[in-house]
Amino acid sequence: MKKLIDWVDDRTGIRKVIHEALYENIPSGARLRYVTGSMLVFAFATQMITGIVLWMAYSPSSQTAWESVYYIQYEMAGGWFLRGVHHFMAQAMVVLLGMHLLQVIVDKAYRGPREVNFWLGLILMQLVLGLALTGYLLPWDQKGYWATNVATNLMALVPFGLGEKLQQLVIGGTDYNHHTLTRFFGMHAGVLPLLLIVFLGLHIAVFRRHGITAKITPGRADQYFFPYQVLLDGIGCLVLVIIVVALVMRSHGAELGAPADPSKPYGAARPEWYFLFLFQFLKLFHGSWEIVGAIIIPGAVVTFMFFMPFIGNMKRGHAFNVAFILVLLAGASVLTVLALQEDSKDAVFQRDKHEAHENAERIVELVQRRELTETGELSERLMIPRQGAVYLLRNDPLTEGPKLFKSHCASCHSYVDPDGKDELQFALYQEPVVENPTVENAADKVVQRDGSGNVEYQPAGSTGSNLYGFASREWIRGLLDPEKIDYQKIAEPEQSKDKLLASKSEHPSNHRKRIIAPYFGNTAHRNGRMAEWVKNHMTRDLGYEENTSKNLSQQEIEDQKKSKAKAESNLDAIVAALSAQAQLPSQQHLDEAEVTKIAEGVQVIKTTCATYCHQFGDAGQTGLGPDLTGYGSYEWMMGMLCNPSHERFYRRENDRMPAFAEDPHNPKEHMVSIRELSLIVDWMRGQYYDKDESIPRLPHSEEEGRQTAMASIPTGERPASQVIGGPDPPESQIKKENAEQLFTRNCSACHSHADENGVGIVASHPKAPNLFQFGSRSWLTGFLDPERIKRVHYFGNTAHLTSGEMVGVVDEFKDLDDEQQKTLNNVIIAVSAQAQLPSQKTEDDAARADNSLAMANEAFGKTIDSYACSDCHLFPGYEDGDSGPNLTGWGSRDWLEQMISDPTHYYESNDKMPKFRIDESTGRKSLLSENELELLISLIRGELE
Amino acid sequence: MADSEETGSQQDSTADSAGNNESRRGFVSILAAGIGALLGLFPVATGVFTFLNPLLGKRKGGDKSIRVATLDSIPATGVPVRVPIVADLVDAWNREPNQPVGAIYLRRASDGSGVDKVVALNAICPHAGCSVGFDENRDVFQCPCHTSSFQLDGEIIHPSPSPRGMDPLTVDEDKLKATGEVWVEFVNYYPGKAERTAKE
Repeated sequence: MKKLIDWVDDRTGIRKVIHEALYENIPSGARLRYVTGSMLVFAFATQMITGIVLWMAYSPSSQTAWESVYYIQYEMAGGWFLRGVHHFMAQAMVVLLGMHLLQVIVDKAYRGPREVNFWLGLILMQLVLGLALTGYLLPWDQKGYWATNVATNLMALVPFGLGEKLQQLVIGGTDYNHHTLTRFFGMHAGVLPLLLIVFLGLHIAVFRRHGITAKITPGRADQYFFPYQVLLDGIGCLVLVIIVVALVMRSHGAELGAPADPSKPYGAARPEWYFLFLFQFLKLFHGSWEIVGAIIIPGAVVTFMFFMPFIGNMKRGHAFNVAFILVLLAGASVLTVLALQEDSKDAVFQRDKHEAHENAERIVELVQRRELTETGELSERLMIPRQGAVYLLRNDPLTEGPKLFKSHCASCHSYVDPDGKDELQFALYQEPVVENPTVENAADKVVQRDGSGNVEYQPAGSTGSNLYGFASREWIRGLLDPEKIDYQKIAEPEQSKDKLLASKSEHPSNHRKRIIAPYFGNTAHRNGRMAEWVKNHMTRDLGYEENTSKNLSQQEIEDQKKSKAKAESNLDAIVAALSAQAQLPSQQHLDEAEVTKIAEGVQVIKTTCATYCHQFGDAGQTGLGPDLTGYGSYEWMMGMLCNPSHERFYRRENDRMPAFAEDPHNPKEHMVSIRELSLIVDWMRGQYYDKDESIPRLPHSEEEGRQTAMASIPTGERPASQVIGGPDPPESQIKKENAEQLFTRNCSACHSHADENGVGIVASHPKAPNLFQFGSRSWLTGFLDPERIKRVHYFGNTAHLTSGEMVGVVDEFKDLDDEQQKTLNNVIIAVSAQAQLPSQKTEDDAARADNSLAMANEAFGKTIDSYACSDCHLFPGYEDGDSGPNLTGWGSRDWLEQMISDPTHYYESNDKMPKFRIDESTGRKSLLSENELELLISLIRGELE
Repeated sequence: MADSEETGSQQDSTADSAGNNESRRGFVSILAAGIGALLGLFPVATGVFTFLNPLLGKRKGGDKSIRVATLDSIPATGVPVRVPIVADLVDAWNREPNQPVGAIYLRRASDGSGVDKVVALNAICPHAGCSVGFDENRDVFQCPCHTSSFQLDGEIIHPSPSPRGMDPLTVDEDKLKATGEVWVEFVNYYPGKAERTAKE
């Protein structure tokens, strides 16, 4: 063995080197106070080795930095431990730096002949701090990104134009970009460690040249470095290892914040604790003095330290130096404590810190999300897409939904859990008038009181519905509750939640009154047809009409009870079926369990809701009310948010809700991007990843959102114009198509407009007269025919068939003699002439010319069988009629305008025909605009052929 | 004789070479040092321009006017809204369309003549570059980093460490009146100074 060592020693001279290294003489023996230097070397070696292993797993680019660190932390064997040691050892190095500096100064090891070594040490200190600063950015998380952002901004303070250039060099541009990370990494893993090794080598070499500055105690024997000092150094390093490992185990590695997102404000940005004193220090320097606090004073302190060896040579100089370093360390500690205290008392900071923590946890959840495969099993973890982890967080409905709702919806809609359990809420208030709105300090605002001392309030303003649990069974049940649908209440004033403001009793934020209007209560719809139906007709339509007469028989009472129960069960079924259309993830089990009830409800909806106003699948017609098909589903909601005024939804009756993406094909015009609309919808519907759900739900992608929006609200482009290269359709054809569309939307739920062969617009379930050639003699002839009046073409499917008097009157026309028939024919001519139809102009003019019209007018007052028309109807020259519609100008433009705008004008017992034009000064809009009404009338009068 | 001659010549040559050697040695030293210096500089020179690339970059073409919102989306109550600036993000080798590249605050203000005015402020704090938040309780802008605070119009509220108020941005008044859309010239300024210097 010895021969082998001899051979190696002969070749390398190793024995001498080892002897030199180990057998350095330490006067007065080994001491604990000498260990800090070796501990620093040990710490640095640890950092180098752990750093190199980390380097093999780390990828410095903005799409991959956070991601690779995530992988180290959560997926690689022992990665968390490796990272943890690297992180906490760095912190330990900073502490050790302070200790070593203190020991060197106190023990006078900085004075001649050791000045140069001291300077080398100061340089090493700067290098280590530089390593700490550059390392903090590398995980590219929010914390590191924003904190380093501040530090690099301070760089720009260096005067003479150098600051900006320096900053641009350091971050590789004017703003943070790819090169910021690559440059910082180049510094952290290349330049700084290299310089550190070089200077460390010089530091140790120069140290050995002069030997240790020993603290001499007489009588204490000299010792060699090995083994006694090595032992002490070893113990010191062991303590260091134990502390570091304990810290690593306690936090299971180092912290990793949410991925850096330059677009997300980060209120919790703080530098690492050992720089907190600088952070606190900076707050003292306002405005242009900032450069003093950021650069001049720290620079002066470090420069002063370079002069310490010379000061130490002067009388009392050493004492001064010791005092200086102690004051420095004490000051830094005080500032650090102050910074921590201020932060702990700052409610906004604590809230931001909490949010940062939540986001950090959420992104890990999202990265580890799974989906359900076709076989019904959980897939592998879906991990991170190429756009990086920040893309996952930006597109997470749980994270983004509330913020987007707040920005775009919460100014009108509330979002409040009626049970009060959910803390997240957006409520709306009636605000007090502020006496001094322009006062400089907003905390000094006070409310304005009137003469009697009562607080004055601004008008409450309209508010939309409470969207908490939209389309859930509870929500729909509330909508169909006569008490709730138009409920509106202003609550008592609430106190502010901000502690500072709550103490100021006159501050406006303590006098806000919550507006409670869960559905239509605070909108124009409160007086609309739906509210009217729910309050006045719903129960009857569901099958129960209360019989208030006294003395009911037992059977009648029983029947009453049964029909009431049936009506309630029908309502239950509607609620279940309508809510099931939304396919809310939270109701999935309920929907599966109530399959029968839902099927029943579907039928009830078709026969109750889809008869006159709503479309529901293949039943009913869109136009007079929102489409109930897919109500509350992702597709329905996307369409609704894109354009609530679309014919599929509320059309002209939409009460001020903006169209956020009116034309899905034209993203540049959107108020809110489709991606964001999709996030809001997914959030409201609970369609986001929740790791506790057994069936994982994933939100919709941006592309799915776009496709859905486009399909949900078709642009209504005319088929003719979709053909390339064909002729442009003439104006008249376009006009006719528009008119037919209007008729289809507004009228065809009940009316048809088709000839005897069924050519035209045919209502699928006609409940009102066919308006084809309305006003013409042929139409009237059919109407006044006892057989045909009862057919679907006229009153067949209406209430007028059984109640009302006209059908009974016409029935009498069964057996007319020639005289009576002639009278009838004249009536037809007279009444039809009132319409002044262009298609009848020739006949009408002829009748006027040969005076047969005058005769016909007389026929109006002649009795046919038992009645004359003028007995009931008003007509030019006849003023006694009082029970039928006024036939003056019957079928003319004006008459039709009046009829369509307000049928009750003519028909007191109007059978469910809506008023298409109302007084819009109340804020409610009409179903039809003036132009639309004109066009429709032109169609009915046959003016568009 | 030959010896002496030889010796002499040797001596001569020694004297000669000594004299020549000295000057030759001097020349060689200079040459060696010179080449050594060049060699030492070579790797540095190779990299220096790439290292200084951020300073040598060309300026971006003119200020871009960006459509940021519609007038209707800004509350009439005068409460500021935070709006992201979405534009093409050019980051070295990536060009990604429709990315958030910054944020601004928009607020409706009336100038007394009944005309709707929109005030736009850059959301970056002019102190050290953090993102300014809005405290709706106290109706002020509040920066979470070093507690600078600003009035609704961006004016600084003392005491605050910031050297100036929030940076206002130009809103296209004509477009606003004509189309109801808010177009803003988005510019970032260097933080930390009393005067506004735009980042190129």
